[in-house]
Amino acid sequence: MKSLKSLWASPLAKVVISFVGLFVLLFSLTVVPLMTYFLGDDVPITIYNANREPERFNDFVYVEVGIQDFTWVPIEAMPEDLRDIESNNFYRRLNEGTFYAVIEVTNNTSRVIQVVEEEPSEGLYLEIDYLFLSVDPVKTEEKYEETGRYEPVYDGIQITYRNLISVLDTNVPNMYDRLKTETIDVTLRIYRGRYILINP
Amino acid sequence: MKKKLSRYVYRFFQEALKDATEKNIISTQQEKDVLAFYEERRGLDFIRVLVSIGSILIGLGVLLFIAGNWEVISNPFKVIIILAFLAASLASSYLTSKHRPITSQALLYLSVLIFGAGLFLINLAYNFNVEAYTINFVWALGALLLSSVYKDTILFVFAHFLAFLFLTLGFNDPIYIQGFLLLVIFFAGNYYFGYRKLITFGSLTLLLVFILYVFNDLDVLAPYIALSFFAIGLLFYYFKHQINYDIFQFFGVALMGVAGFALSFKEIWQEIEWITNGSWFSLPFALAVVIYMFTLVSKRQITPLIVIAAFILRYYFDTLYDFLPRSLFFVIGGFMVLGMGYYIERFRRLEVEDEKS
Repeated sequence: MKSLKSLWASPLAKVVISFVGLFVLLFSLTVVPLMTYFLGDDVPITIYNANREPERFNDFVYVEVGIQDFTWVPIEAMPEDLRDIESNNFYRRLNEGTFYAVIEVTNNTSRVIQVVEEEPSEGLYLEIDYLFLSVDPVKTEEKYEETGRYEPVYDGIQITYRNLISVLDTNVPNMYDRLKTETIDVTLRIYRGRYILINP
Repeated sequence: MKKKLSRYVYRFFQEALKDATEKNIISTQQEKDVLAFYEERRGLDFIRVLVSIGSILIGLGVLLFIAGNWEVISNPFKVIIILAFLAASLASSYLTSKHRPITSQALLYLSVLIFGAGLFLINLAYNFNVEAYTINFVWALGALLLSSVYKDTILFVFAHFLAFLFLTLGFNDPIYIQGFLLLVIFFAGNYYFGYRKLITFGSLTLLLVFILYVFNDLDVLAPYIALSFFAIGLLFYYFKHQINYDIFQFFGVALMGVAGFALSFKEIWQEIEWITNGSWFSLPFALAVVIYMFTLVSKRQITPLIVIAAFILRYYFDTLYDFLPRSLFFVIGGFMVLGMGYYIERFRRLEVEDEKS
């Protein structure tokens, strides 16, 4: 009878160890999504065409994917020390750290988002990929006509989340075409900054 | 276990022993006994390269076919396909290991490629939203597993490449633990794989990228980073030891060269708050580096010569680009590059001849 040591070093054992090891590594990817699936909370969201200048492109409808209450938030959603929107400090601060959007669902159709710099220990939140100031094109143009100088007028904060738009694009059939004429309702399941798409 | 020698060294050794036997210094038996402790390392041969490329092409073809039809395949079936290919590849490697070892090895490499592709495809299929750097980390672990089980150097080098991708893709994310873990494995692997030069080279590259990552994460100013790398270069060069010291020396000179080159720009020095005119620091520093490199060249080393050439070109471009007519500037620049190339090549030949004699 072969000893355990020689069995362990045999070519067959090597194949088995390799396959089991690679199998375990492959499925290590599923740990976080599974935790999100079983421990997360559902948040319904509405996707819409967030293009704010459709009149400038009369010959085609330009679709900019937005998520109602998620991608555009009023300036009050930012920490006070970040609200200095007149200065360049805003952009400098954005590159310094990771930001999180704390989501408080008040009912199925409205929610409050607060931007924070520290990762919350509990509750619903998403990791923010990028924050930028949202320009009001109409007011900016009015100001330009008044003063003759181009100065953007900001009316809020635009937020993008890690991969969220691409995940929606992959899973919502004909998303861009549908958004030209309608809004689309989907459901996210969120757990500790991570999310998975539940519906569709 | 027999010690593996490169083809050149093994044959030289074999010739030397044969010569000694013919001159009756040692007996034929003694020649055989000594040679029994060594074996020739397998180099790249045509069939091996051909079979490896073939397996990669088959793997890519199959993956492209599946990728083309990926959206119409259901998610569980996608996982089954990936696992089936992985199992088939590993099983084929096992079945061919006895009679066709080269094919078996190529199938092993194919397994690692299928594993990596599987990671990306499963992430895509289920929208796991896992970052690319994490996938590269897991892929590197897979390559490390197979390289340790089969003691395969190529897989271990490939794991270095994946780890490099992991570090660069996750440069702005918290990857301290994973990065440190990989470095520990790689440096332990140096021992496991008998301190091969290529592996030491890869591990040192990763160590330096990781150090850069730490500096970047701690928001260290560029001049301090460059000075630190210069100091690390000095340490690599002067700290003598027995483990691939020539590789450490090469890294030492290269690091000093790159860091010194960066510090020859006054703008970098001006990042330090109390420095208003960076030229007061950049020029003397650049001069000192060039003089130091000349002292290294006098010890018959080629890397410092390349560093000096880079410095000469850098100052030539910076100072004369605005003053000389463009055509003259490029003609002179071209002659300088050709001259340096000729001189470096001559220097290299002399070095090789020195080594042979």
